[in-house]
Amino acid sequence: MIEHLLFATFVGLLFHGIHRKVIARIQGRPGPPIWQEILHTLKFSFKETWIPKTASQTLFVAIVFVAIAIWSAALFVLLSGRSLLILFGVYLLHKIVEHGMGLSSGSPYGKFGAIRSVISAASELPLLATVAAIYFFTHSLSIADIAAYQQVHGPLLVIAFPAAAAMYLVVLSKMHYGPFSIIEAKEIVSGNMTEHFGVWRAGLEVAYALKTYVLLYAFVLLFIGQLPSVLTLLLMLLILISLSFVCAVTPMLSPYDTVTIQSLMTGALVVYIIILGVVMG
Amino acid sequence: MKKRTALIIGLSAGGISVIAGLLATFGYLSVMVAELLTVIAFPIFVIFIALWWNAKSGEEDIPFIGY
Repeated sequence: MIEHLLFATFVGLLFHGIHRKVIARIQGRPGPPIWQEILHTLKFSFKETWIPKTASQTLFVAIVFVAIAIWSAALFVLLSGRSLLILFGVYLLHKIVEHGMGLSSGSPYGKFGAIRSVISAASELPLLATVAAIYFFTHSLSIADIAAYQQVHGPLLVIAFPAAAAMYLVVLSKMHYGPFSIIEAKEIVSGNMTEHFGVWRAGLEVAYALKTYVLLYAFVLLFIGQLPSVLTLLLMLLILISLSFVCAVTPMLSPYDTVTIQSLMTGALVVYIIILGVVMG
Repeated sequence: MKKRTALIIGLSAGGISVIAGLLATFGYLSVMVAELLTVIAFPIFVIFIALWWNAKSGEEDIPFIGY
């Protein structure tokens, strides 16, 4: 059990390092070594740790535990092939974590990040539409059933490409340095994470590593199917590199533009589901 | 919190997680219960181990207190 979490944390942090490296290379910079985010997390864990005087102490600390716990739970949901709705629920909880993290600090930058996390709640709409589109084909929300469906009928990436594109947008919305990373934009320092430093930030880095691992793994599992572990990791890496490419060439959008794009994508997917309903009965 | 307390809590949480995993593997505990225990114990393990190695051992220089 814990070995899965330790492995996912390690790979997730490595993926974050690869993400930064790819972005840097595309932008013509040497970039940090790929293990930079692992060192980064260790560095934070050694830094002096305290709770700001203006913070809501309980929430400030508890939010770090909750962040790690929800993505640990999400990983187990994927591994044991349980309901996709639980994964959706975890995604919603993560939004509350982002919000609570910013509000708990008492810092104006943190609060700006928290407010932006509410605005970026639109990123949940494509996920909801994706869940609906998957159900339309598989008639089940069990991840194990969805994987079994793909073994018989082929990958949903081909059968339900618009749903895969919407899920890709969901994963992109949660990537660092991406066009949708408005909650941690540099004009608000580090946004909702500004005041979380030392051990608290190290804990958050662990949670975010798990989140990246879970989202990429979910994409492979839901749209390509159950594959051998090495192949799954390779596909996760390829998807990550494609996301890094998008992040490298796309400037950060304004908060309202992120909502517009995510809402448009959801609208397109709803039209797709309606057409499917008419065509397939 | 004392450095030793952080280590005890961190190791206990890690131990609970490992034991829950082993019990589930050998069928003495339901997988779902083992997962639930691990979900609760893992954040405690991560944070308290980090707090343990972050904590000073109490033999530092007297801090600079200003002019």
